[in-house]
Amino acid sequence: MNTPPITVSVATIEGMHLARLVDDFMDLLRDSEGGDPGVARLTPNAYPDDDEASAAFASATRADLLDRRLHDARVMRTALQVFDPDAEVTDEGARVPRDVVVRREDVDAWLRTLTAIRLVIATRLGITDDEPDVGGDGQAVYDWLGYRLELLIEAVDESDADALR
Amino acid sequence: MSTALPEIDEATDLSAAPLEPWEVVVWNDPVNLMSYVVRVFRTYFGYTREHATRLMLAVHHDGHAIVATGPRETMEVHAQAMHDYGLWATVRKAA
Repeated sequence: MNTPPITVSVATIEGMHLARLVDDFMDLLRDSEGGDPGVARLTPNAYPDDDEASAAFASATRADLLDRRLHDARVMRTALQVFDPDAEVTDEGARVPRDVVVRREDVDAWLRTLTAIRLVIATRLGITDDEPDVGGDGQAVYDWLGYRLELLIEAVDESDADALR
Repeated sequence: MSTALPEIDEATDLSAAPLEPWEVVVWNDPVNLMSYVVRVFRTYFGYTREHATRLMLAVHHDGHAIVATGPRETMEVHAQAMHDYGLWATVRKAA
């Protein structure tokens, strides 16, 4: 069975922001020695009541888990390669919509990466509520990523349902 | 008198072998979207949309839900997968 890819339309400026966020996320993963609380959130404690089991689980899984985050991020960044985060754009150019093609086999990588970036941002902003009100650019980015993620999930769920018909 | 053949211990009951079940618990967090959590439960565990939605709502309202039960090694694999998806999962011995 061959399910068609998902096409997402984003404004040029959005695509540039997404590309920048993914780049920053990959830098964070590469540089992290485990001290970053955002990265720590991506590798949760599987045994909060058992220090020994917790340490064993972490040493067996942590590095692989972060490697897979990096791999997912690369997959997403590749699909965004038409966007140069450092390019100069006019206001008009920023609004030009572009189609981004998400291949079916890449959908999970996209969903996991968008989620992981939101988790890192939420950790930094100290978001502890379903309806956060911390304000500022940080929350604007967080909310926008949530909106983008929600749209992608809707599109994928719909396409899954179509495939079953 | 001794015998080289092992005696069958009548008390041995294989059905009572210690198959201690373990479980994966997913905890509520303020970040993950409801639609996302449903999708993860549905696509990873193969649960129906209804079951996945019930589990997601349990996580949301009760703060946590048991999403899988079975041998410890398998539960650790599931917990790792949940971590891959950014969900906050822990492993514990079933009560």
